[in-house]
Formats: sequence, structure tokens, C-alpha cells
Amino acid sequence: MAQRVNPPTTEPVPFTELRLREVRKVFGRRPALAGVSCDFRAGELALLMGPNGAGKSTLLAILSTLSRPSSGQVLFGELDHARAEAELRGRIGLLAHAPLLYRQLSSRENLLFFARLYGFAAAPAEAAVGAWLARVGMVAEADKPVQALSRGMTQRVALARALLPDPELLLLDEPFTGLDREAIELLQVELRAASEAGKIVIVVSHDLEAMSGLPGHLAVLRRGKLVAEHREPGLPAAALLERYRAAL
Amino acid sequence: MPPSEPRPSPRAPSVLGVVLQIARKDLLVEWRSREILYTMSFFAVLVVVIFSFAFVGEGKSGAVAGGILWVVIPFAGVLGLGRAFDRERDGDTHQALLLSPASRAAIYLGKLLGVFIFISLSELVVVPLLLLLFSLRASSPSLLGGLLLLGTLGFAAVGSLFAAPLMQSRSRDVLLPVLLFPIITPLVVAGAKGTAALLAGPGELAGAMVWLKLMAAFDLVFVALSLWAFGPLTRAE
Repeated sequence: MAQRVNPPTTEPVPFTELRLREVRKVFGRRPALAGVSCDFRAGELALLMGPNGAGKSTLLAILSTLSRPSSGQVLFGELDHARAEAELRGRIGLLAHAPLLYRQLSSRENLLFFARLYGFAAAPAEAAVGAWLARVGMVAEADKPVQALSRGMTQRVALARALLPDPELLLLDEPFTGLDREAIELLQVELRAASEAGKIVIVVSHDLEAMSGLPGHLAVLRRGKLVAEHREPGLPAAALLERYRAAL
Repeated sequence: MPPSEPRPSPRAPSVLGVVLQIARKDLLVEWRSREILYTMSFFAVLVVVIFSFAFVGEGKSGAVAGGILWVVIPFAGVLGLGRAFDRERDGDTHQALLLSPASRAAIYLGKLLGVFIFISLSELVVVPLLLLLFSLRASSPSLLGGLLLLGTLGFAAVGSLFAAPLMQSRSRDVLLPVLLFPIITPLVVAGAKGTAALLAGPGELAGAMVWLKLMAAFDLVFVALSLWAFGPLTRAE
């Protein structure tokens, strides 16, 4: 990993488990999450599924620390979401619906900006950004403004932004939408690599063909509740679909 | 990397580093689009020209010019302020900022610096034009610069504090001026009075200094308050 501006004096132990206990989220009177309890483990890629309005995006927002549960507990290893928000910042990568990139800036400028924000010094930031641009196949387009890129190319840059700071938890919300075959394969490789590197990876997706064989953990939400969980590695698309349908 | 090994986890970068990175990014985005500067300057120039014709028969005094200037600055400023924060909403980039290990105070100061620079650049166009159209001279250009600097800083400080949490509100375009203008009224009054004193002649320098000190006190209070309040106001709900 590239050298940081302020190297840590005491390195925090990475969290290897994410535990949710009776997590509820209420918007007005409407419960989006109605008491979800679930564990996610490092090195085990999780697929989160559910019909529209099941609470998947709300759960991802809470796990990313961009939202707080109305009640219940979210534990990142020993760190409690409610008390350790500042300590958790910078340790979570999010690939959301929106790319979280500045449209007027190029891919390189975006990645450099975020690298510096994550504490990379100038030269290591350049090196890390160059390496990530190559890894997501965006070297030739690196200096074009993001607004001139296709959806698939933008998603590649967004993936590089999410992975650049080497997060311990990687959250992805419908990451395969609008991607071509090559971009899907790239994303599959990166998801597998992140999981094998010991990260906690949670993917919300309905593209079971793209997710085929990837998840080791399937969690199904319905009306804000966890209705099924399966821990079976390498399930193909058909088996994932079968378990999903059975859960609903 | 095996999960049990300690890893060099991201650490908060320096406050100054984050402030400069965010301001630099805002300037770069503006350089590419030129929306904010063109919009603010066009609006400000238009208002100054309209007022200069409107006051032809009334006599173009320093008091009138001071009043016009300190009406133009906040109204043009609110255009730039809104757009500067809208850009963070466009690609949900504010979420990426909030996910980073950068402190909330540093993010706030970075946005403040960007807005301050945008408004200051439009003042470079408006102030000379106003003095030219009203055939006035400041008895102390450096003191006038000081008034403008403190007024712009105070406006940007309070504006950035409110613009950030309002980003997700559908009524943000209405709410921002409604929240902002009552709070900055003392700053605007002090700016108008101080400018009028400077344009009245060298005999009024002491009076201008009093208004300058009042603006400095306002800035001190509101920058400190905003640094404390920005975190809770942008915290996840």
C-alpha cells in the first residue's frame, strides 16, 4: 500500500466481522427496517436480495455510516456504529447508484482528489491512481472528464474510487447495472479479489447471472425483515434464484 | 492481506491539506464550467448599472453606493453559494466527502474557502464599476478591502454552514436565503455603513474602523460557531 501523509502510530486492528442486532430504521411512521439481525464475515462475499422497498438500500446506507439506525446495534468488529463513526470513516468503500464522482473533472483528477482526502501523500497518490486506472482499464480515458464517459466507464472509475483507500468493508448497490460484458467480468474479478483479500464484501444485486458462483452468503430481505439466510459458497445463478424465490 | 494482520488503516489527513484540496477542486470545477463566476458577476453588474441609472436624479452619494454594494454582495453571493453546494449533490459527491477520514471541520473550511474566492473574484469586477459609475473614491482603499474581505468571509462562513445540510432539501433554494439573510443582517449593515464612511471622505476613517471591528467580531463568532456546528448539522440521521 502507498505511504500516507500521517502514518498511524498505533495501527487499528481490522474488523473481521460485521454484526447487526435488531436494527430498525423508521422514516416518519413507516418502518424501512423492522429488526434485522445478521452477521457478515471477512472473506465471505455476501449477496443481499429482496423486492423493491425491502430495505436493502437503507441497510447499505446504515452500514456505510451515511445513515443511523433508529434502534438496534451495528458492530464493526468491536466498534459500535453509534459511538465510533469517526474511527470508521475511511475504512468503508461504497459503490452506490450515483458514481460519487465530479462530472467536470477527469477520472485521474477525481481519483487523485480522493486519494489526497484519504491521506495519501502526493507521489504515492499519483502512483496508486496510476495503478488503479490501469487495473480498471481506464488509462486511455483517464484524462477525459467523467461527464464524457459511458455508464460502464464511469462505473469502472467509481469502483477504483471505492477500492483506492483499501477499505475493510466494501458495499455495492446494483453494481452491474448498465455494464457491458467486459466491465461485468472486471467487476467480478475485483469482487473476488476483495473477498479473498479478507474484506467484508456486501453486494445488493438482482443480476444473478453476474453474481453466479460469487457469493458465499445469501441474505434475503422482505418488508424490512431478514426472511432467509444461506451460507453456501459458489452457488450458480439458478440455485440463487431458487433460494430467493423460496424465501419470498 | 489476511484479515487478522494489522493494516495501515486510513488516517485523517491534515486539516490544511483537506481545506486546500477541496478549495482547489472547487476552483478547478469552476474553471471548467465558469457557471458561478459568470452568473454572479452578470447579476451583480446588472444590479449596479440599474441602480446607477435609478439614482441619477437623487444624487450619487457614498451612502447610496455603500448600500447598493452590500445589497449586491449577499444576493449575488447566494447564487454562487447555492451552485457550489449543488455540485456536491449532482453526483452525490458529498457522500464521498463524508465517507472519507477528513474531519468535518476541514470539509467545512474547504467549502468556505472556495465560496470566499468566488465571491471575492466577482467583487473585483463590481467594486471598481460601482466607484466608476458613482464617480466616487475610497479615502482608504486598504480599509475598503478589509471591509470587503471581512464581509465576504462572514457571508461565506454562515452560508456554507446552512448550504451543506440543506443540500438534500427540495426547498433549498427558498430556505437558504430565508435562513441566511436574517443572520447576516448585522454584517450587511456594518458593511454598508463602513463603506459609506470610507466614501464620504478622510474625516470618516475612524467611523469606518468601528464597523470594521464589528465585522471582525461577527466573523470570529460565526466561524467558531460554524466549525462546531457543521459536524452535527451534516451528521447522518
